[in-house]
Amino acid sequence: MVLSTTERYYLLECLSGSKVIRADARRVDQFRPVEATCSFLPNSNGSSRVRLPDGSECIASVKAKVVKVESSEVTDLLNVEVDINGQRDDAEAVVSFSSILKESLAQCIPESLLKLTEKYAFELSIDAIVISYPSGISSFYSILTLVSMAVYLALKSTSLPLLTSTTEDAEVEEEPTFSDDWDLAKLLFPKDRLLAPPLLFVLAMVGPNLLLDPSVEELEVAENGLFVGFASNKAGAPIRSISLNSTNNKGLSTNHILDAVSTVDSVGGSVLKALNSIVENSTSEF
Amino acid sequence: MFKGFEVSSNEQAFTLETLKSGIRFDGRKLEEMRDIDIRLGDEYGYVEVRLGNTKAIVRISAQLAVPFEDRPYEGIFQISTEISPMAGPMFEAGRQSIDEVLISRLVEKAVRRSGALDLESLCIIAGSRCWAVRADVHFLDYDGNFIDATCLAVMVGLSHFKKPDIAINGEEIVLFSTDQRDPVPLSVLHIPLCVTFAFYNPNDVEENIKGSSSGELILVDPTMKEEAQSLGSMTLTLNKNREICQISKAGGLPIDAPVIMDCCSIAYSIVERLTEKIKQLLKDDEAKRIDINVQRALSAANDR
Amino acid sequence: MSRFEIYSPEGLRVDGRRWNEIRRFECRINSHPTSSDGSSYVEQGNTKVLCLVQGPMEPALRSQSSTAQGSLIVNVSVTPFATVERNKRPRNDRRIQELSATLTRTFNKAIVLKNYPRSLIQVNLQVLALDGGLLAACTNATTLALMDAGISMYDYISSVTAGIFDGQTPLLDLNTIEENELGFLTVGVIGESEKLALLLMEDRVGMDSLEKVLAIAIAGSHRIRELMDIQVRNYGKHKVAKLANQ
Repeated sequence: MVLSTTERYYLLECLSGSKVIRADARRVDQFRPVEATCSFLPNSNGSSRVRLPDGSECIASVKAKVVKVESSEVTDLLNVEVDINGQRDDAEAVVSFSSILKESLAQCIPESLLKLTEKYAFELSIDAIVISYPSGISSFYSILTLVSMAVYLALKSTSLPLLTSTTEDAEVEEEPTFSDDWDLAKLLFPKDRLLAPPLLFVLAMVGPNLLLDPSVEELEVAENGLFVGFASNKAGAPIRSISLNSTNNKGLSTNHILDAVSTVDSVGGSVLKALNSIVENSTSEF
Repeated sequence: MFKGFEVSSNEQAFTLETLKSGIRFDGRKLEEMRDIDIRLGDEYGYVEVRLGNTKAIVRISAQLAVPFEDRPYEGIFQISTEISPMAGPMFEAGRQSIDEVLISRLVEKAVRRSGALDLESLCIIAGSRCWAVRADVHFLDYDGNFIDATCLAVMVGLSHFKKPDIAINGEEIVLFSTDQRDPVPLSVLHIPLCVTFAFYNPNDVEENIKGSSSGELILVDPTMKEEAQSLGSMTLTLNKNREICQISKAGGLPIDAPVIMDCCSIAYSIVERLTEKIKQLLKDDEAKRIDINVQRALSAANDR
Repeated sequence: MSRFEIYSPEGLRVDGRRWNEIRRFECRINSHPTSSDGSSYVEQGNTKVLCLVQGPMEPALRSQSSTAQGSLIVNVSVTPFATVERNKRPRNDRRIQELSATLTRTFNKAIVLKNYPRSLIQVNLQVLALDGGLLAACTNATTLALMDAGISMYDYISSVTAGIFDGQTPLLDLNTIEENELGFLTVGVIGESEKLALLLMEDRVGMDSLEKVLAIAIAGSHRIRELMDIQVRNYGKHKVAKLANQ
């Protein structure tokens, strides 16, 4: 997006003051309205679609496959691939999104969740496809929140078939068998447990202020950016600084980072709650 | 069809007028193929096909290989159709244009997918050894209609080719040279042949889509010039058992379904005639080879 | 032999349909109002396709600009999770390239391209779930999305597959199981005519049964055209009502 000098100056002025005025009248820690649906793909164990008002959209799918366990590493059972429409498979954003998501997921998913029997486990293939994004986007990192929400919803709506054979199969030759009845299927992330997939929040820095969920115009004037993870109901790793545009770049201060963590800490819970209600009320329609 | 070859508007109008009166530049009728000249090489599986000025060479070869994991009971059959700039200046080396992809996909569908070659007969030891048959197509000269020429050449090549005889001793495979044992032909189940039609529209576009008359002009086996001016093409692949192996009308001018049925019967009569021709040709070649073999035996006796 | 009975003696297919029934067909237009100029979403049974159209717009490359008529680009991408077994296709997969070329050539003749000189129309198709009839669903989705974008077309192109069972019974609108067992063709019919913009067949079918299969496929396409037309008209009315309220 190309801004005129006046527009740029105006935005900077509004966003860097002690009282922040965002162009769409949001608070600094307020999200744009998100539209989402779950479980609309019959071929996948879990699926989701998330859309932002600026037209950005991400579709995520989770597919589970039964594999023989060779190592006890969770990373071997997770397969995360991100695809951004119109970008090459080896584009920087595509590669780094995949690895960021995989790393943060591996930290939050205990091995016990995927382990099926003594010999077998579920291997999860998580695919996130960014169908569209605003045409003048200056950095793909701004859609990381969107992608992480889609992955969160897809994982939350993932259900796995009920195991009918024994879990103690170390000496047994047979492969595990499952119930045909999908009504008996279990959610990968049970509702009664605190366990949840991680979310990643992108914040843009303008002057002393931090803006949650920056819009395309705000990205253009951002002086730096960072993303903060949110898992097990608190903000934490991964925290990383990201460049949101190629024109201006200033350093982050310690205050910025502390500020970012506390912002995410305070809004994370309510975002999670909102997303969970989407999973529960989803109609399985696209 | 291919970029870099353009026809002037005058010439286009002229072509359309002549086609309307049922005349083509080379004096053919609309549903007539060009003359086909097939030459078999001294070696089994070498075929030169000339379709008018379009010229292609096919070389069939076979070697021992390991079958694909998901198909342990089947041999491997590959067709390689790479068009080099030798065929004409409009072809680029190294880069496959979309037209080339379509040609190779079509030949693949016509020959491989229709099961012209019995892949199970290529299996030697299930899961570990099989024959890998390759058809390498070289395009020497392009004057339209590569597909029909290629398909014909590959089919003649496969019917002509003979692979060396083998014997299995437990896990060991013994390969005999042609002097030791006569080579064995491939098991060709049917001979699919392609016939390509080109479409022209003498009326305007609205008449073609909305009108009730089907006044579209259809001609068989277009030359390069005719291809460049056509509004679309359709390739039918049939065998003489009255089976359609493949139809490909990927877009182009909309054509009435009954007209397509007519095209099928035109194509069938062409295919029937061509199949006869191929059979006769292979028979003559076989007879000639026996003669030579007999002569050789005699000459050997005389030498002594 | 498959463990499924493709067509039972009672005249029922694997999913309980009769020979001349199409699968559940649902479509929506303008599904992505902000991110594209025209969009549609088509479900044909369990095959789900999303189509976004950008344009007519200024082409990025000089070579895409023609003074005589507009250019059309169709990109198809099949998501890795579309099939039951996850399958990531390479970007230069020849089947996909063939599919995009087929769609481009079909719509080149269906769009009034002479109305859009020096412009580019770009169609992006995302296949979210695949259960037979890929080309058909892509064709229908493209027709709807182009209409939504307000691009002038001569008429609808509606598409469906049809196969032949035992050389006797034609079956309409096949799913994956049926496609793997039977010889089948895909037709693209223009408007309410019997003119075929598109005809693709990949497996052996007896020459004498072709007419039967074609007839049922054309009838099926007309049915799909009706269903799409209802949706387009509903959307049009809805939009007019909205404007009137303002």
